[in-house]
Amino acid sequence: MIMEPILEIKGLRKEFKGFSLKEIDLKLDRGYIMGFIGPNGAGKSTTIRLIMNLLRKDGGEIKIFGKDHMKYEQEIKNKIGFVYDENHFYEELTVSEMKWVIAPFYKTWDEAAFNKYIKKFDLPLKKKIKELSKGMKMKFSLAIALSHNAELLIMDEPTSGLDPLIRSELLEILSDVIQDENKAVFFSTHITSDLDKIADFVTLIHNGEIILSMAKDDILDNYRIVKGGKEVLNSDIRKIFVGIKENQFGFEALIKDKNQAKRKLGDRVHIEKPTLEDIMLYHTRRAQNA
Amino acid sequence: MLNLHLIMKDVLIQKKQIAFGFFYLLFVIFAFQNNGVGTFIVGITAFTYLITTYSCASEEKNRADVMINSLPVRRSHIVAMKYLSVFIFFIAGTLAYMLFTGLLKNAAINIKIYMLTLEGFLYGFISVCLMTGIYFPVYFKVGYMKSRILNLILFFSIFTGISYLAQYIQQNDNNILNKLLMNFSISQRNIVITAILLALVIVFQLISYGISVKIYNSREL
Repeated sequence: MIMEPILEIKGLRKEFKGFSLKEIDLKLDRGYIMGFIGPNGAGKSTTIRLIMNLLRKDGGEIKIFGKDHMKYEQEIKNKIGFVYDENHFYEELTVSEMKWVIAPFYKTWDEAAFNKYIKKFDLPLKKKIKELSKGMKMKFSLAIALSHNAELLIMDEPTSGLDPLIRSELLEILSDVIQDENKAVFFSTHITSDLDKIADFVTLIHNGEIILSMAKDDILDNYRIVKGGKEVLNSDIRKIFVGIKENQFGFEALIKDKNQAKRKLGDRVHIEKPTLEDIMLYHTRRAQNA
Repeated sequence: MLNLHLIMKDVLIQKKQIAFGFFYLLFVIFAFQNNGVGTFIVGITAFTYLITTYSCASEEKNRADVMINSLPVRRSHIVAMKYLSVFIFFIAGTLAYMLFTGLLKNAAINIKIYMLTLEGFLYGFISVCLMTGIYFPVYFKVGYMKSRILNLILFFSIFTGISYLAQYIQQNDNNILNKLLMNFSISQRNIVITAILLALVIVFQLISYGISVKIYNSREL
């Protein structure tokens, strides 16, 4: 039996004054983590808010667990765990009171799992939310997201503003979650190093358009940074670059296909593996110059 | 399914405000001694205003709409719980008023106490429904910050309107309004008139609820 993608977006459109999401498509299967990257203001949060039906789409289709996200909204949200970049809990409530308000909404709330995460994250049940650090608030959010047998975790910049230790803890937990191959994580960030270890797929969005969406290993296997002197540059060569940085001594550019790099430039340039950050920066820079 | 824990959340986030609301009711009983039915109307309207306003302010301050709407709950239920919370706080305030006036009467303190009647209860209910029924659709459209001026105007209009009305009735024994109200008082026992008034207020609240749901359903968070 062919499994439906856990998340599938087709031709999604949303218009705002001064910004629009332009018919984006993406697909995530069960068992994988997708990193959703892009600079600030690229459309990451808009896409996530559309998926969560917090914003109303102007066109296109969003299917979660193979079902329309509006028609089956309650059923779908029962199986989604969400973590947002900001605190949206009532700051006046304690951790325990906030859990007490939220838990009854979920049909499959698992109190034992919640208590396990509370212990694991060392969260003080009696403390008010406003007294928690940003890292603690994120952990509380994660504890809620993981305590109702959610199959899809949707996270909007969960690592933003966190120290490296807590970021790394979060990433480890996500790796644990994905051990269950029935689950998936959709994770937006502008810190691309978050994805180096854990992401299976990377989707890059810029100016409301999906620039690329593919397996991380394929990206890192195929893309290359080339460095060399300006004498190798001509209009044909420039066409094969995704983006280029030039200075008085030479150039540095990103190329999509390592074989093409070897074929066209041979030994005249130095070729090295890019990071996801290089890929994001070169892609968005090119788009800016387009 | 009723998401009553959304109302309990309102209680949890404003324990202090609710306690203050009860003290305020007590203050009104002393401060508005000569206003008759106006004492209860002013007290209960202020009590409900205080709690409803703080609840709406807290939603906005915490940007909690985003979190609540990410849970498996219909927007119409979120709106319904806001309306239902008004009734619950109205009942709580009314019971507190009855308790305070009952205790004060038995304590034989030398003040003029308005003991709640069905007439007072109805006026109080109408007053609270008018205030929230007009306010909520605007709140669901633009949020707390942008709607608070309207809320304040509504509150003071009802607050001063009721005080003025109570004073007017006392000073003009033979005016038409008084006769009408007297007639109404006499016909308190007439369950039909009471039912019609209640039905009108409930229909008003239902229309207000319908408008709020329509607005909130299309609101972008």
